[in-house]
Amino acid sequence: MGKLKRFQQVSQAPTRPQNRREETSFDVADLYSGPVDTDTKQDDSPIPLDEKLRQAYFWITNHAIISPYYDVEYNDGPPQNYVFGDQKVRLTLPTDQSYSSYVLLPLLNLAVRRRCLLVGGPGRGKTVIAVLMGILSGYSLKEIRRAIQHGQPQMTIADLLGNPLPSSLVSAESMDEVQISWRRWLGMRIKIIDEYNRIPTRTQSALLTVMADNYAELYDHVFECPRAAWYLTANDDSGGGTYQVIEALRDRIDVVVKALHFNTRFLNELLLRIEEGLSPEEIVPNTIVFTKEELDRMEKEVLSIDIPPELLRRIEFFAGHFEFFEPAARQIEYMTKDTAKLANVDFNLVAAEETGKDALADPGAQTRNGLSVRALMTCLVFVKAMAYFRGTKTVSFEDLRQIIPFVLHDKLVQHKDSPYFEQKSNHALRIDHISWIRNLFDQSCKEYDRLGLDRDDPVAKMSEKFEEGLEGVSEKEVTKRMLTIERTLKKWADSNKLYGNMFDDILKLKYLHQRYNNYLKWLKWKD
Amino acid sequence: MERLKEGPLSKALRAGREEFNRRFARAARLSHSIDAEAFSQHMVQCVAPVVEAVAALDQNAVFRVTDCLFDISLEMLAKRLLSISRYPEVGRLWTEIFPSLAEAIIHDPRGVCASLTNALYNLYVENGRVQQWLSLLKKVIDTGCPVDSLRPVGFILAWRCGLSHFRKKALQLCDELDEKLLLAVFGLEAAEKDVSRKEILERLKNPWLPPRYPPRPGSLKIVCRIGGFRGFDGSFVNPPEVLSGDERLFAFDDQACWEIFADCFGATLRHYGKDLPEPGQSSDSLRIDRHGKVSAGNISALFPDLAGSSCSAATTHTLAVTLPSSHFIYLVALASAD
Repeated sequence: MGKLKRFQQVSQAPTRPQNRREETSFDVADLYSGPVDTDTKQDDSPIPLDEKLRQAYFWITNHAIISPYYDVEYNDGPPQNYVFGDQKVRLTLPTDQSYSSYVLLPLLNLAVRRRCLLVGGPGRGKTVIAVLMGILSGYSLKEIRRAIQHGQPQMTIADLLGNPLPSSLVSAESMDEVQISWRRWLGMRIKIIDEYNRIPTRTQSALLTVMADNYAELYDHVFECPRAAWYLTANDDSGGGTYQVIEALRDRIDVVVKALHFNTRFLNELLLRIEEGLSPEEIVPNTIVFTKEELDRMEKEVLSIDIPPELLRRIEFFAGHFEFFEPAARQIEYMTKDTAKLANVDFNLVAAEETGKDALADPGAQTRNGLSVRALMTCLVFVKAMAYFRGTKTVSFEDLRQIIPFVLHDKLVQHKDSPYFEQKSNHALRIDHISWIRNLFDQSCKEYDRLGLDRDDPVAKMSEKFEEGLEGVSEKEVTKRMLTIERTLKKWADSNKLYGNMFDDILKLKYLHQRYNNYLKWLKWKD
Repeated sequence: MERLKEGPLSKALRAGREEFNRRFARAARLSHSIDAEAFSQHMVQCVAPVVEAVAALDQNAVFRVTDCLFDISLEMLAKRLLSISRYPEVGRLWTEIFPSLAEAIIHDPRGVCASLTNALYNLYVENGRVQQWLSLLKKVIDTGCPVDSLRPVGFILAWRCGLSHFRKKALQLCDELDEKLLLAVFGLEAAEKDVSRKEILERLKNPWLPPRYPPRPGSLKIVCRIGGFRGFDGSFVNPPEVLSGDERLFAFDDQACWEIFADCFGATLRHYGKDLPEPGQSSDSLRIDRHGKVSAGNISALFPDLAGSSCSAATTHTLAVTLPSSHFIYLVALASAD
């Protein structure tokens, strides 16, 4: 029976002979490599800085900050979606590496050395993450803790910036002779302002100079600050607090990051920390700490990331929706929300004069303002940083989609009375600004695709032609180009409505027409 | 708990106290197997003697070496390499071997200590004779082993202590060692100090005759038994079969194939893959019949335990035999009497 079973047994192992495998050889290293690292130069071997940034991200999420969220979602295939409850709450399971904004955005801010506002209720780790960024910049925990500026109602300019040395004040015969003892934090590569909305208004102005222009001034003496990454914390993202945050200061914030809630399923992690008596700031590994030179180099590498022209065009199209405000003026150049704001009129009243346009379809109808140059530049920098973090050489569409909402969070002001938000499905967007802005971007891209601007963009073509230069362009050619502009404008004028995305295009055509007109006059004068 | 006495190690630890504490705290955070008491004991019993030996040679190197040994010790603790129950001889490595390598450690502390620790670990994993390896290594070092030769010597000794798959490379290294060291590695210095390198290498050609004595006729015997049922920590799921080709022996079951390495110092099985090797030139210098009689030229011997074998395969020196109801492989060879 045993023999029969043996004959019936089919081998599960493949028995087809393969090509001869190389003879198994063993090297001395096989004995000496193992669980203990033998590499004496491990700390010296340079790793790419984007890889180091990623390592820092994963160390923080795995060991430092409990932020088990993936709200910055990437997909390399169709993701699965689930819908919960009566409100149709949607959950997506991303298919590509995704990230927690709470850790990612501060790191990107470190890479590009901008200004990051961390908002959230008390005890959510805002200061911890800022301190971690400080340690990653090469400072010790002691140095960082001493350098944090704590906003409080009695904070004076001297507390913030420094004091003149009393002895020099007494002996000086002119302001030049006064010596200032500048606060140490001014010279650091990381600047942390805790609870900035508790700083008195007067002191906020002094802070603004440092944040905006990178210098501090006292008694006619100027301290030039080095480039730094800023981290400000607040528990109110609308600019309220003990003192209202001055608009100019708020406008200097480049990116806003919300502290996400604590997931109670990770309570055991908290317990472990209590029992061990350890805090993550004390145990940051040296391998993810950046030197000053590395931070400089990383910023340069980020800025060298490419934004493809077709994506840049989409950003232009998106940004173009918001500034245009037809009821604000009669002269087209002045038809902006900024004109209305400067005139201090009631925005709702003026907005009600808008007629005929589809307020649900028009992204511009959802905001009270447009995008400033500063906001646009910040967008471009941060999308580059996102692509850099993901290890790619060019920015992708999803990089735009994921990062722009965080950058524009405080920059685009909602028009809460817009009919768009009256729709039941859009109520939550009044509160969830990230989703709102992402939605705006998606809406804009849909419109961009509907207009077929990737295939046919007359303004882009005309701009390209103009960029080639006017040297040697004949009178006939110039006239032809001017006619093209006029025909395009006529075609648009005959269409019914004037939307925001057309506004900048119309003004660009006017600009081109004027330039050609001046050139034509010069040609005629020359002749 | 034994306390650290005042000495070079305690001074070095004091000098870098904040940094060492920070590293320990970080390691403890990352690994739950970091036990402060076990670490302290290791520092006192194992690291201190090494640092003292280093201090005796070069005071300026003490901090640097301490810094490195501290990190290595943390790594070992995190990976449970300091567990006496699992690796009882780790302490010997640090207290007997490392102090006598103080000069080499000053030159490359991580390279020397980490490598030898890994070697010990690999010996344990491969079921090598760890105690013998340590004793032999100590002996060779005491006879004056140059630093450059430490790694090849350790490798050859690992082969001698049961890691038979290292044979080929070890023989190459033997060819490169100086004569005195070669004698020391095989323990021949006292008995046969006049024997030449050439003769030793000649002796080593027969895997079943140790180089200790000049070649003499051996007898057929079952030299070892390897394999076993996987459920009992062996290699095979079902009774294996064997095949040979080009002086190599292989064993396979329903799931995978292994290569057999065996000689007078030990036997190991190394995973070859899921597929069988291409059939090669087989040797018929050793044969077995169904009664269990093994023949090698004019010499034969009867092995009743091997009667009714299911399969056999041979190289010039080794016959591998399997039985239908056994998960083991029996190796038969012309071996020396001792």
